[in-house]
Amino acid sequence: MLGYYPGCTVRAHQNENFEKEALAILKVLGISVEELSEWECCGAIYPLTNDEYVPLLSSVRALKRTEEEKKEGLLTLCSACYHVLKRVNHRMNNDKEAKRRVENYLDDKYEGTTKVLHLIEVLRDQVGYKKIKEHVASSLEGEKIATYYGCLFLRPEKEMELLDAENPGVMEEIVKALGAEPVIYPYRTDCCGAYHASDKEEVSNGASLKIVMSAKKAGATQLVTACPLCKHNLEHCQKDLQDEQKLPVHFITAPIYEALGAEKKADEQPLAN
Amino acid sequence: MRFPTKTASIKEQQELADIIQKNVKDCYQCLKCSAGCPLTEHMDYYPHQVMLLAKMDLYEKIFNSKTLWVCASCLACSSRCPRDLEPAKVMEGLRTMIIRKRGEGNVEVVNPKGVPRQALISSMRKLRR
Repeated sequence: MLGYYPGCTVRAHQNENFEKEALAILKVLGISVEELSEWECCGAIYPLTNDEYVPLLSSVRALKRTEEEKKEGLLTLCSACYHVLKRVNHRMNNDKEAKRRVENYLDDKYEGTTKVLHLIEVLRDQVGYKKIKEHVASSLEGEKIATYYGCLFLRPEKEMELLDAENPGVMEEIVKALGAEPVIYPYRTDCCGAYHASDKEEVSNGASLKIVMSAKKAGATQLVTACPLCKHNLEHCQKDLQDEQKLPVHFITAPIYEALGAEKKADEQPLAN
Repeated sequence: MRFPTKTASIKEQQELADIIQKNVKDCYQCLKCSAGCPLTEHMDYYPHQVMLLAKMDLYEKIFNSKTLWVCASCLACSSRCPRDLEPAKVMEGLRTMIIRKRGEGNVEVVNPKGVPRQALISSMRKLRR
């Protein structure tokens, strides 16, 4: 049983169905998850300053709760939550000073046994592309899907250790398993402008539009990502384009959900939680 | 380029070193950080120039630059730095020095409507505190 950490943005934007689709896919593929009994926002961004410890606290609480509830790992859907939880975990296990201060503050010990997992990682390691292929009910043949990784999912490479940060291939393999054609384009690991969406819109729009245009040029019919903020930026930057020029942006779960026919299958049994 | 003579005080140099736990003097200007940065078009100093100015203790120039507030901490530079100096971390250190001194950042959240909360929380934490 994996512990499930929804995170603030995924939970707040339920109408985008990221959570619903992800839970349905996991159910179909036989991975059992249960939401942590209590959780709070991970902090949205990992502090790069070495002398601040307060921004680590909420993530440590989630890691500790996973340990207490004896889950095999902590599953996240959002790239940012994954990034923050994984780096905080890394810091707690490698920086004695940070661990001492955080534990003093929380007045509690964290053993450091929690493993932070991303949905993509679970699909790759615990399910496998072969099993995904076997479960495909309606192949997505003819779809050309561009995958966008973004920054927090991949970097810093030596701490995230999930994918090759310069040439990741996991989402492409998943897309292939669904029967669609993955589109390789130059900017799939470049930053979308991230939090500048809230203060310097021209920065995030410019960066995102470059990504969208490059995917379109490479022949994509849709763009998929695993980060709610990337999805917002990639969609928002196209607001001034004509409808026929727009490239639809989805979560990576959308094509999987569609190909597996997860909606029908999930209806037969209620989802976890 | 005319170089100013006002360099950072020992106290300021110590403050930066405390925050980032790195020695910016180790930078050998390979330009990998600037080559991979996706947001350079909005910057007045490129990341490698920030590193050079930090190396020469000319913090004042960086404090007055746009670059600090344009960096989105995407970590492309940090991940690729052959000296493991993490330019994004250096930027954060210098930004933090300004924020701690002023008690506030120089960036207002102007358009919070319809923006995912992840972006709001991140920008508050990075730029205002």
